Parts: sequence; structure tokens; C-alpha cells
Amino acid sequence: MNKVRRKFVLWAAAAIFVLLAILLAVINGISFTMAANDADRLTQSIADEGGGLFTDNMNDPQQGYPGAQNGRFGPMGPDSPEMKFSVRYFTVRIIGGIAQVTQFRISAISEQDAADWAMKLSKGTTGWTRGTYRYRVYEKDGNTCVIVIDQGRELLASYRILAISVIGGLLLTAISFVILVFVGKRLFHPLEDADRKQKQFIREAENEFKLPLTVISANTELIERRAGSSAQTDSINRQVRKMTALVRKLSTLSIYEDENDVSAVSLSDLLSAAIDAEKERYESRGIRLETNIAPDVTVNGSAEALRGVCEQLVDNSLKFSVSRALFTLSREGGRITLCASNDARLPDGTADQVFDRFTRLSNANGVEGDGLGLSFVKDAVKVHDGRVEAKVSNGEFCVRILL
Amino acid sequence: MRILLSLSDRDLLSAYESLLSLDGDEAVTAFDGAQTASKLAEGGIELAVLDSALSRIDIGRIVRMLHEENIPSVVALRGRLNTALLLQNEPANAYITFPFQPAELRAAVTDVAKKASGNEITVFDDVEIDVRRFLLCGRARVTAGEIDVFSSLICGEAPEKRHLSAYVGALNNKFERLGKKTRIVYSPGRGYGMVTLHE
Repeated sequence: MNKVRRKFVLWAAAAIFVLLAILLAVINGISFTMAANDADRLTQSIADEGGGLFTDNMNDPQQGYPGAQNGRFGPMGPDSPEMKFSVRYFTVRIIGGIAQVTQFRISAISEQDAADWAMKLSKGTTGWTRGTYRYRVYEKDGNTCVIVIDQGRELLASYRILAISVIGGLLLTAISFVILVFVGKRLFHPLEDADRKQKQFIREAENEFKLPLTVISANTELIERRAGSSAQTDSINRQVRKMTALVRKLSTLSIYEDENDVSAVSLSDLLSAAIDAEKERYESRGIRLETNIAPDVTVNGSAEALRGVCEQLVDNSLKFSVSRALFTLSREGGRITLCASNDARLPDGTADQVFDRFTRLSNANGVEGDGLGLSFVKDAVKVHDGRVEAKVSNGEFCVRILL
Repeated sequence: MRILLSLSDRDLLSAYESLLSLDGDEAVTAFDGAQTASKLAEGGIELAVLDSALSRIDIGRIVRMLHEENIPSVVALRGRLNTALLLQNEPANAYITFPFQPAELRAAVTDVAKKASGNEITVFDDVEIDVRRFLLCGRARVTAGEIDVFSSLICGEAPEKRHLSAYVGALNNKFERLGKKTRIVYSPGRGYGMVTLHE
């Protein structure tokens, strides 16, 4: 359950982080796009005014600017005539391959540098150059003209928003993570409690059954030794054996939860060993056994639990195969796939039921078992962060484990 | 044989006392730690069967004491047998796990008694087990199960499946700790086998 809680917290934090990242990316994208648009409108405006050769009209709002009323302008946007006076820019006209600086209202570079720079930019149309400069190339009286404006001050606001977004985003994610850890604890508490109680019950049931079973079998043997065996003592022995097998399976369940029992385990070896041990039984039952096991497939996990998985799959296949059984183990990239298939002749649509505890399907009639095998496989694989799938199609049964 | 039977449940104790008697052994019974210590102190015990759930007792201390007296011991575990348990400094001579059948206990007792009274030394390459003393290379204690796995593999036989991974894990760990080059490995198709590591 701790793992589930950890997963919940991590996934929820990741989801919050992604959503915040998308939101902040959109905000910053808009901010930078607006800065570029403003700069473009400004360079267009300067170009329209004759490349920055301001006329007298420009200072006369009554004549020059329809947007102006009584000599007053609205907020100073890129369309404001005032903007031109606050901007650092230079304009260059290229006549016969010679760059001639026509306006120079910038101190960061020399006129000569401006001319050289404009020559280089003259092949483009508009865009950012040297980080914070926006340029526009246009034709005027048959000559190419270049306007370069310094948008550093305007972009600073956008960069500040970006910095605040990044810091704020990370901070919000961290805060969300802390809140999620806290909320997760409270949210999962009842579930963890129920899970703990269930495990406790299984452990107690396992332990409580162990002693009486041992006592019953000892006393049954004592009766047999003193009075000879009878149908009744045989029956007791059979039931004790059944219960003993069940208790041992319950004991295996606790192995799956032992987090200290983790090492690099060769799944290839475990599966091969489990199959090798039962080869004779396959032969004696006339089941054609095929295997395709890739060597050196290792998993970090509990050797006991994974051995249990392999043995359970083989045991299951032995019990229910009619004429053939196939085991494959492969690794592609980081993904390990273990497949156990056979002609168990299960009815279609019963695949999901095979993992239910104490469930025995129609083909289990007359076959000894307790309906726990594949549910243990599922639990053990889950503990190893894997997935189990079952498929039934035209009587073919296939269990696929992905690790 | 005079066997100390220390089991925490009186019904179990009584049943096994009778079974051992029927087998011709003498059972000295104890159902808690204090009784176990007192019966041991009386002397004359040839083998001890201890329940891991005995009250008022440190099983490890009792096993150590039994080792000092050269009395072989079989411990019946309520939990499972794992590698960590076998890697203790003073493991018992054999372990069985609850729930067990009388035949299992009898087999364990007979096996341990036989090993302890024999004079067998099993050797593979740079590794040897003194079966009588349950000692690997004269330094590390091993259990009857580990000895059986080791012996089966030397003879090229398939070892008993039950608790196999725990025994193999414990043996490999002990080989490594003792600086030995022998290891038990699994080869598909051939099963478990002994190999010698090369530089």
C-alpha cells in the first residue's frame, strides 16, 4: 500500500507539474509573441514614417495622428507616436550596395557597426537579432532599408515574467508535493489500515492453522500406529495435506511482501528450473512442451517470490493443458515478457476470472487445487512493479507477464 | 536415542512423545524455555527438537549451547526458512517448518543423528564439509539441508526442491565469505551444478 501511496503522490505531483508547465509556457509564449508583435508594429510604424525621418506633422497631433485628440494620446502602446521617441533604434538605407545610416538613435554600437550589421540583415525580412534587437527590411524608393530597434527594455518585462514563472512553477510544484504527501497519508490511511488488517488476518490465519494441522497429523499417525489405518484416518490425512498446501501458499504470500529479500534474480534460470523439474510429468501426460527462453534475463526482486511465480505457471500449465504447452521469455529493451500458453479449453470471456482468489473455472472440475495459484502470481508480479494479463481465445489460454 | 522434545503446545508435545516412544526413542519433554534449560542441564540428551515459538527462551542461545555440548538440534520454524536464517553464526543442524508431518520430523531427526554419528567428509575442489561436525572448511556452520544439496550436486544428482533457493543462496554466500572459488550455478537443461570460478 505504501507503494500505491507513493505512486499516487508522484503521479499527482507530476500531473500538477505538467499542467503548471503548460499554463506557464502558454503565458510566456503569449508574452514573448506580444513583445515581438509590438516590436514589429513599431518598426512598421517607423518605416511608414519614412524610416524614422520624422516630419513636423508627427509633432502635430492635429494633423499627423488620427488617433490623437486635442493633442493627447491614449496609453503609450506600439501605435503611439510617443513610442518612437522612447525607442533606441537606427535605420540604414542601402544604395548601390553601400549602407548609409539615415537615423541613429542608439549608443550601444557605432554607426559603422550599424551599417555592417544592417548589410548582413538586409537579406531577411523581419525577426530577432543579437538577442534583444528586432529588425525589419523594407523597400523605399527602390532602395532596401533596414530598421533595427533595441527591445531590451521591453523584453526585460517578458524575461521577468519567465523567471517568475519558472521559480513560481517549481515552488508551486514543491508545495503541491508536500500537500500531496500530507493529503495522501490521510487519504490512504483507511485503505492502508484495511490492507494491513487483511495481511494481518492472512498471517494470523496462516500461523493459527499451522499448529493445529501439525497436531492433527501427529495424532492421526498415532491412532494409525496404535489401531491401524482406516477410511477415517485416510480422510483426515487427505484433508490435512490439502490444508497444509493451502497454508504453505498463504506463507508464500508473505514472501512477496518482504522488501528486504531483493536481489538480481535470473528469471531465465528460475523458469528453466521450474520447467525442467516437471518435464517428465509433461511427457507422461502426453503434453507437447515447447520453450523459447532467452538466456540471462534478470530481474531485481525476490528470488523466492519469482521462483513461486515460475513454479505456479508450470503447475497451472501441467494441470490444465490438454495436449500442448508453450513458455516463452524474452527481453526487448527494458521490457521483460514471460508468456505461458496452453490449450486449456477455457470458455471465451473468462480470462479476467482466472486471477480471482478461490475461483475455479469449468475446466478445473476434478483437478486438485484451491483457486489461488494465479492470484498469487498476480500479487507477486504486482509487487515487482509488473503487469499480468490473461487471454482466452478459441480455447487457447495465455498468461502474459510484463516486467 | 534420548531426545529432548521442546514444543510449545502440550497436545503436540504429548503426540510426539508417544510417537517417539513407539519408534523406540526416549522423549524428554519441555514446553517452555525454563524447562528446556533445566532438562538440558540434567544431561544425557543426545538430540534436541526445538519449537521456534517456545516461550521464555532465546533459541539462538540454546542452539549455541547445544553446539558446545555437541548435541545436534532440529528447529521447527513457525515462519519460513530463508537464506538469512541459514547465515546466522550458529544455525541449528536442521530446520523443518510448521505445519509438518510426523514423517518429516522423523526424517530430519534420523538424518541429523546419522550425520552427527558418521565420519564423512565431502570435498569439492577448494571446499570441504565435515559432515559430522556440520562445518564448512572448518569455519562456517552448515545445516543438514545444505550438506544434502552439496552432496547431491557433487554426485551429479538433482537436489531436493524444498527450500532449495535458501540452501543454494546460503552456500554460495558462505563460499564467498570464506574466499572460496566454488559456486553453485544453474544451467538451463542441466539444472544446478558446482563450478569453480577462474580469475
